[in-house]
Amino acid sequence: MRNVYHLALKEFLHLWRDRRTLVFLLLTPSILTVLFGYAIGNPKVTAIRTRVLDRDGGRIANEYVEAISSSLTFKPEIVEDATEAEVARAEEDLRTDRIAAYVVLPEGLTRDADAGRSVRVRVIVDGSDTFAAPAVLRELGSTTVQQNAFLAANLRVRDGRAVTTEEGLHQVAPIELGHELRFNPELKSQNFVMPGVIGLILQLLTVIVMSTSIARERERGTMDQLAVTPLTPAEIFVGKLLPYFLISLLVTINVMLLARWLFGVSLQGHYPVVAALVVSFILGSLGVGQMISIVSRNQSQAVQLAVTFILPAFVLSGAFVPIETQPESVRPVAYLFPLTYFCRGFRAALLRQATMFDVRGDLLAMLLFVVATFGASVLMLRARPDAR
Amino acid sequence: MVGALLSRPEDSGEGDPAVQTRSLSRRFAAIDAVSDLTLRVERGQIFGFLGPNGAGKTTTIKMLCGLLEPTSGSARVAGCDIRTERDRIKRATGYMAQTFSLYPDLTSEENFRFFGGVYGIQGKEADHRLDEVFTQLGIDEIRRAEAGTLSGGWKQRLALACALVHSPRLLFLDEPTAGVDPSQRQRMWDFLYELCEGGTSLFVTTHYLDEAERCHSVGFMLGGRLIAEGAPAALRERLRHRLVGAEVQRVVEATRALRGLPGVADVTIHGFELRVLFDEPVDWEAVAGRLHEVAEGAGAPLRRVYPLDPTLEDLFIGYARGHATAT
Repeated sequence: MRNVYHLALKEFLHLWRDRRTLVFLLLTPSILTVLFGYAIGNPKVTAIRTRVLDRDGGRIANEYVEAISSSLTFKPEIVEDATEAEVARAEEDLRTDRIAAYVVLPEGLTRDADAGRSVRVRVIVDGSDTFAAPAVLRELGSTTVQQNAFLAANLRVRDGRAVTTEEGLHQVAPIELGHELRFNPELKSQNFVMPGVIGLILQLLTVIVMSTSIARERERGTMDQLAVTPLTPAEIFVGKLLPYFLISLLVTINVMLLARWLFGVSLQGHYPVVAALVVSFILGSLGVGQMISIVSRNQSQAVQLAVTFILPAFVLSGAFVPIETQPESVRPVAYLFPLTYFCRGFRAALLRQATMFDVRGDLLAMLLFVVATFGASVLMLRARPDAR
Repeated sequence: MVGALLSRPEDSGEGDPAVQTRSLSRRFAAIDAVSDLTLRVERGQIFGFLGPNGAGKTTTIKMLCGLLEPTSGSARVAGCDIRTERDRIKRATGYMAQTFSLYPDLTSEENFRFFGGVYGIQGKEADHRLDEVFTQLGIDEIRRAEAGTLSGGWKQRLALACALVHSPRLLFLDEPTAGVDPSQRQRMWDFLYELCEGGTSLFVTTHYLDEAERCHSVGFMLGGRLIAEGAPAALRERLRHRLVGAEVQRVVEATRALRGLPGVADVTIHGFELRVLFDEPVDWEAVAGRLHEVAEGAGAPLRRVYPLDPTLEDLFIGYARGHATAT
């Protein structure tokens, strides 16, 4: 493996000579950070994973359950006769991203509201998803307004008497919607978008740059010359990967600092978790790049392949918009891209301070990618060293 | 100085030929690039591997260097099996590809040091080796030039330097002088002889038949098969009585007419001279009358007919023609 050092050094020399690539490597990430940070739209959100904790069981609780179940905005999970323990578990599930929101319909909701007494329905939303949170609040807000209007009408009909403004307010709107935003209380959109943007940039950088490296050797006819040296396929693979791995790490730090300075995105997670996610994502993406490079005959072919891989990843991975906004039919495709796991895990780590255990699924998926792409690349290099 | 450059620390496999193949074959889809090649190349010699484009020369070299798996057959290179001892072969042999295959954006020195590094030659040893080889090949002045900016002759010498970085016992050179001017070709060959004298075996493919004459022994490839091998002089001798010269003004008409003659394998034009190759050995005086007669009939009378000393080129054309008519 001592030989690898020389190969890595040579790769650095290539980079230094190829100024255009170097500029691309160092400048593009910053430009993209700025561009993407400002230019994010507001797509329609559907099927938000919402748990409804029904502690009332009465007529108005049923109205809420009915309204939530019939709305496309929600993908509800109804818990009847919910206990305090179940409310606590919902809070934990919110933190680990098993659900995106939960609603507590309090005990005595129907009784108090019918009597015109003030009562509070709580909705707790994961604010790190800046698309889903407002949608949840909007939907529940309109349900509440509607219920209050019915109640007010009922009260007037039943009592048939004039009321003072003071009393009237309670009678007209006995149900109060109490909302609590977790993890991103200001609903700052950059907090949601920036982890995704960092993922996109790393994806673009790693796959494109790596995909041309072996294709370039092949184009120049130097692959044969490498193959007759005692370098093993594994050494060639690692030696080629190492410089790009280090540069990708540098870019990650650069972009995260920019995100903090320009957008005030407080990227504060547990460092080992953040590092584990970044490293496994970069390695997996570089592995994909190498595979593309090995199957490509020349550089332009490699770049085309790389773009072909990257574009769907960009659109589907949930980097800009939550994966929940994708139609159900294409969502499984998203799980073919490491970017999907990275965005989810990275967001959890940065915004919800997820632990290594919380993001184990995403980490595992990305490590599988690393093993698969590394293994396949080395096997392919061994099978056809000159690839003709 | 030459001795220092060419001396080799250990020489395992004493007495083994440099290359020994048995029924070596390689198929690409429906094409037999190399079929049933059995070849022996002695150590300490320059072996010329000849044949037209697509004859299977490069495919053979790639198999011998471990770049390509043979479809069938076996081979030993520098005493090692090409299937099972690939790593030992890589350390014992050098390979200079047909096309320039160094890194154009690295300097000569960086290229050399890189290849040295992957063979485990670094530090003082690399410095020493660099000085030695660059001085020997006369390329010291281009140390800091980017390889891509060099002209053909310099490039070839730099490529040779890089192939020699680990002092290989056997050197494969695929068209080492292609696209190089005659004086540079001369220099290159002088250096190859120096290498050979130092004990390195050389396996060289070339299109230049005058270069083939300089080899200790040659092999002719055609259509993936080895059709002849031996010392150039011995091979030329085989044509001794099959070649007849004729001087004529109207060469094209005469050639056309003589090619149609039964027993004539081929006719080649050299200025006003036609070189007529027969399928079988002939007595030149006996066939002269017939040649005159046929040429006369075509309106291109021959001035005179005489015996010729065959060259490898005649041999090459003869073999190629014989093969073409046979298939």
